[in-house]
Amino acid sequence: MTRPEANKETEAIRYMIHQRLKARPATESPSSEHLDEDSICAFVEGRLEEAEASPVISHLVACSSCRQTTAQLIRFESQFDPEAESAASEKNTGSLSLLLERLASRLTPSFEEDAVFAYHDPSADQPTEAVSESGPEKPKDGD
Amino acid sequence: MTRPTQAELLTKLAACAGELDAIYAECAKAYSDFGLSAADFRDAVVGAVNKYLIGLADGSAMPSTEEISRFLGELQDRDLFLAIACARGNEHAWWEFDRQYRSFIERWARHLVRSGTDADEVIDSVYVELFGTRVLDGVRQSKFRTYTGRGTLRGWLRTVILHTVVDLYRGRKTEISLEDWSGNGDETAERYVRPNATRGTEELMLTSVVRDRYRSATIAALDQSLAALDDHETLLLLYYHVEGLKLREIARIVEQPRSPIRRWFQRRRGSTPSSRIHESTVMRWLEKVYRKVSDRFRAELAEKHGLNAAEIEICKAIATEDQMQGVKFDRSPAVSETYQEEAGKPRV
Repeated sequence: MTRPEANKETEAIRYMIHQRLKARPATESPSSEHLDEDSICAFVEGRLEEAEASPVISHLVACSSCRQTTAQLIRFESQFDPEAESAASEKNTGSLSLLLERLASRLTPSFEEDAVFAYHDPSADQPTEAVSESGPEKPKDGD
Repeated sequence: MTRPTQAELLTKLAACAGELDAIYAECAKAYSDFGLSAADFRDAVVGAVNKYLIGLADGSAMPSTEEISRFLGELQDRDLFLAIACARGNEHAWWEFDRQYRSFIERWARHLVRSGTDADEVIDSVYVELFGTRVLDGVRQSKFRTYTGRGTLRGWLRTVILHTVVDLYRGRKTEISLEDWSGNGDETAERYVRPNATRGTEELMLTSVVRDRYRSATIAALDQSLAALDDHETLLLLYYHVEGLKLREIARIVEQPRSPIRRWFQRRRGSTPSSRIHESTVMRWLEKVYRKVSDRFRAELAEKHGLNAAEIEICKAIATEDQMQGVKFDRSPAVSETYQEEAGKPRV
């Protein structure tokens, strides 16, 4: 199959998947109970081990309400004013670690195929001092 | 195997007593006037271990000492300490909570709802719920009792506030969906770029009976293909196609190195866990899932429905043409349940 054919194939299947999933009934939760805030938070923050996350993911696949809650949390979080997060707790702020992580990510290449897609900023080749001159990016989230 | 008893769990936890004592001492030093005993703190930790390492995991196996130790290391200990003290009604703890989180709660509530009056109502409701007005066996049922320290207190509060907003609208019996009040409902509708369906001559000759046959086969095969996906893959599709999350938003949920979705996909790609997650990475994950569905879809049509390659193309053409003509690609009854209706179940 040529690349254009493959793209067309993917496009068609993407359309069918989109339509089919959108038409799914919203009330397929296997149990009569929803996930509580504690579990949702732990999942959204990526803190669950695989064994813990497995039943949560299964629930989210079946329960549109809990899935929508997690989706809204992710969406709102990305829109939220970072200034609001300035008073984050010490343990999770990671302001310094976030900064160091960002610096490290600019000084070291991305792994594997990610590198193909990541834009390579020429300024990233400059020494560390040059990076810090522009000032650290304010962390988006204080958590 | 039966579920481990509380006594068995306490015995196991005793192996990590040193770590637990150190965590407690550090918290008690930071919050010396909260009046929280080591036993109170330990009981809360036991509850958290019980919930996550036993309840959410396979439910029967006793976690190993190493697992408990790692769990303790990841515990949001100060957040938990503060929450327990607030649940017990310690006044110093409440002032501390108010100092650290009042501003955050107000900002988050006002971010979620546009009306200032509604935001005030949400904030009041959250505080009432956190304090707890119901008394059971002489114990006030503060919402804080449900916090375990697995995630951050801030993240937990976000979820509590979001649920309070949903409850507020449900209480008013409005038909407003989350999309309506959040102003994000159009993303999914715009997500899909309509493919250019070509009207083949063979299709024009199809009778409606034949079309129906192909349509039924297409839907059945697609459902089978989707059902064969792993839950991680299905959730990725649902987030993108149903919830309308953008690639960068999905990348955000998996950017945590420990994110189960991220680790699942990376393990199958054989990539290093420390790889950064770009929007393009999520796109590639999606494309892999599309290909998987596509392969399975073709196999289903060929093997279970006995269709040849040309007929499979007709099935796909019918599906895309239906969309061009505004025919819903679905034979299930239309479901228009609102988020509020579905959200009415109890949370555990």
